[in-house]
Amino acid sequence: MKITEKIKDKLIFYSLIIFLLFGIYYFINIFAYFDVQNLCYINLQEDILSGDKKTMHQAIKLLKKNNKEDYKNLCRFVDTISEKYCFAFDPRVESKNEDPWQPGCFVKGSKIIYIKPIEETSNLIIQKRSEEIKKFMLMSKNYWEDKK
Amino acid sequence: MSKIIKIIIIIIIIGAGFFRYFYYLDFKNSCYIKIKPSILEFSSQNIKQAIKILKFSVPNEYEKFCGHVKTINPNFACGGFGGGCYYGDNIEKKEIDISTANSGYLGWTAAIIAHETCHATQAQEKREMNENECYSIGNEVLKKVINY
Repeated sequence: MKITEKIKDKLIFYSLIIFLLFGIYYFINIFAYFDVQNLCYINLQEDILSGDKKTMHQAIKLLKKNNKEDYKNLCRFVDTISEKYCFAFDPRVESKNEDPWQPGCFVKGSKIIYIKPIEETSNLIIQKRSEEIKKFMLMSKNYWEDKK
Repeated sequence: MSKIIKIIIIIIIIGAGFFRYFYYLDFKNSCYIKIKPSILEFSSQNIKQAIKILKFSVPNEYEKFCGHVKTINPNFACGGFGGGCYYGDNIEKKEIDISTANSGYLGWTAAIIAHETCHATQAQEKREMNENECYSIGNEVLKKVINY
């Protein structure tokens, strides 16, 4: 009787631990992209007013599905994906025929990439975001590999 | 004995937190910057990341920054939110104000730091405050650090 009770206690204890670990995993994935299997953690910064974290998540998953090498590089050379426009030059100093606010960029010296905030959700948007992430990831990869 | 170890561990944790949030230290380049606490900015990590961007991508501006600035005040100042400011009332203090909000766009923060460093340099070299010179430096930083 005592032995079965001990086994029962242990079962409850380990079930609680597993439940807690799953809870932590899902909690982290609310704010970031976390893939335990590949030890990949990417912080996701959403534009609260005009962005969508869900499509950022899905775009990373699509990249993983389409090309494992790109996904591996993303995990290595990007630590944050942020939904923000990039101010590329100061129009007070120089006049160009382009908008100083660019829809995404990579900032050299960091592992942060910025992508255009998009609120809509569709397969096309996810595809576009995945391509955008790949484009800026390659810039980061080239930058850090040249630095070696 | 175990009490002493506990005290040492607590001191190490508090010390590490203190240096993480209130100092930028680069021993190799003898660059030591104090970052004042700020409730509005909460975290100084954005500023520290922007300094690293200058270090890696615009080394000449980084050198000027380390030589002419000793303290960064991230509290709201005359530059407003998302801007910077240099009062120049006490040249010896070597202090600049940078309130770019902790989740702001890093390229902009790096440009603002370079802009305010330019004013600190002008004051320390007893030159007239010239906005155009500093706008140009900020613009050069933007162009050097951003890939789009």
